[in-house]
Amino acid sequence: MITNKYRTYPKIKPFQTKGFGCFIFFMVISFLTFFNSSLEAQEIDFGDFSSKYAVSLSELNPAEDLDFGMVIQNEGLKTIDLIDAKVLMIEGVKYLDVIVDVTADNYLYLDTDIACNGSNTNCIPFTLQAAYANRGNNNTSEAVLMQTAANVATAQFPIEARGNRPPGPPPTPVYEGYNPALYNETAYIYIYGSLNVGNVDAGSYSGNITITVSYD
Amino acid sequence: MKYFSIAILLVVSSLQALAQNEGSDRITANINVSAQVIQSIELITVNTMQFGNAQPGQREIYVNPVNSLNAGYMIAVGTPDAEFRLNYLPNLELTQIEGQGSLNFKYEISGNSEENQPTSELLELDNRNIRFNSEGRYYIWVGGKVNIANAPPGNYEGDFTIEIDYI
Repeated sequence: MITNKYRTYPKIKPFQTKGFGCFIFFMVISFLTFFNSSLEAQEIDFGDFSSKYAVSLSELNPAEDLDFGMVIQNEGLKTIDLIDAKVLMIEGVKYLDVIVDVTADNYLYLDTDIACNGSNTNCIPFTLQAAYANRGNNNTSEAVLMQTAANVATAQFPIEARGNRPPGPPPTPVYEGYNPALYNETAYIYIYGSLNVGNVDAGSYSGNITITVSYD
Repeated sequence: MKYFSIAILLVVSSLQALAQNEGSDRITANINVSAQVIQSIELITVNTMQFGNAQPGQREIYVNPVNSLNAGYMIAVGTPDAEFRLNYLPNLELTQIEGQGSLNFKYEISGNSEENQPTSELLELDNRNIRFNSEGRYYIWVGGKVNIANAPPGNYEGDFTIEIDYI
């Protein structure tokens, strides 16, 4: 009988089996897949790193309100058309999408008295409309109307329209000597709408519109 | 141990990516919407113009809006201190109620921010941009003249149109 005295047997230690390691690795990958939103979609989202890029929002004529001017009691519908809209400019990286939210008060209030229940004589119903133009021109004939519901208008669009072209190259990383003007473009937002002037008190009425812009 | 290192590395890199998403810029602007509501204009007729009875042989009837008690009297009510424009057709044809006759009437209007006819001012083409007083009133007297030399006897009527618009 031959006995092999040098035969070795694998030492079984807790947590070091090959199967258990695979299990841990599988669990980690599963965790990342389910809980990391950046892995959820098959989308090249250059905006994930957009915090490195600046975006600015400014008014074309800062001194001007969206001003309906003089209206007469019981005048009915008073409209500011798209062509006479208040214009704001978004300047940012032309390859990136922006999300624009425009939120307006439902009423214009007399002397900022916001105690209005819709039937008072100290408030005028206001209906918001909004549009954007992203072909590099401040041109209302190129404007795209924004979807509006309950005086909130929302849109997502690239700073520079891509048309039928595929998405452009990723943004140039910010580096020393980086000149954003080379990669920036301006898009335009148009704010307009209408008032329904009923039997309200004479005086100065005003309301507020908030525009929020962020990269996608 | 090797797998734990890989796991920790992935978790850390994942958290960094999430932080970058949350750090993306969001900018906000506010704009004001405004309107100035003004009171609708009312035109109240207090007295209508009276011609009285024409005497035989009388060729013309004239009601002076500045000093005649027969002048029509109206009050325009609107937004205090607001400027407005007043327009009217000065020449009007009056038609006989029972007959075919007609008369050409030429209106004259005077106005005043005070309720005082004698100090009212004739409103010509060049001074019709006027202003409501601090109580939102403007006082108007209406007169005119008509040639009745060839007019058949009878009663005549016609409408006088006056327009007031804010400027």
